[in-house]
Amino acid sequence: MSHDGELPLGEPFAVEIQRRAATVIATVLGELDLATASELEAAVTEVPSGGRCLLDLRRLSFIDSGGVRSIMRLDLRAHAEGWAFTIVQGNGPVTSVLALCRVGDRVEILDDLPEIS
Amino acid sequence: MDRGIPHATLRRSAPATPASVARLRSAVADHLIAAGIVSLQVQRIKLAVSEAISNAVLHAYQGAAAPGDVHVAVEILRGAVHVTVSDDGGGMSPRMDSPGAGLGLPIIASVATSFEVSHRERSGTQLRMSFAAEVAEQSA
Repeated sequence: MSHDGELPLGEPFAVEIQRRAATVIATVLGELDLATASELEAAVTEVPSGGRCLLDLRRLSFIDSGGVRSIMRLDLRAHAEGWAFTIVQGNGPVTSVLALCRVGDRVEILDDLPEIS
Repeated sequence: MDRGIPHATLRRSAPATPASVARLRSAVADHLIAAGIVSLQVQRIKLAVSEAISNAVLHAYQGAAAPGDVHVAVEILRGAVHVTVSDDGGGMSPRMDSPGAGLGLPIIASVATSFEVSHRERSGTQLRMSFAAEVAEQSA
């Protein structure tokens, strides 16, 4: 049986952070799973109390329950720290996983990035 | 329909670490794409494989000084894709401090045609999942 030396590396993961007034936009790229979940949680910082975090998943190519768990942990932080938390899902492959895990029961989900004043 | 599907079995192993999840998942997806499985079905199988490997990473070697391996095998036979994920760990046991979300098996159940969890003869856990092998239409 072949061992890990022959395995593909998978898509690179990244989180791009933009700050606009009291809103933090976290754009997630690549694959969100058990290995990359902590990177997402660490990247979302300094959302002001009373502010908002928009988690943009439109360029995410894959998510599993490890990734969903990191999103739910961000939602817990949002409640504890007093900021609003919204997912922007688009029409990509992650949409069905978010629906399957009923993430929308806990977190607001939009299809597109809203206007930010 | 098996037209265009190679019947070679894919077998891969890697250390049961978080970084191995994406690598094994990608190896399985590449194999399915090469076999002509339709994209939507590849996505479903990738998801189930990711959940199964993550379970092995999180639970198979708890308490061990170093993680052992997780193994993946993919067979495409008679219109179905069969994926087996196994480990050499301590087998299933209750865990009150589980680091998982508890969504892995429900997700597998929702995307697989069938799945079965069993103890292996010597040690470890084996998860066998089956899916319909939906093949992309070839252009004329």
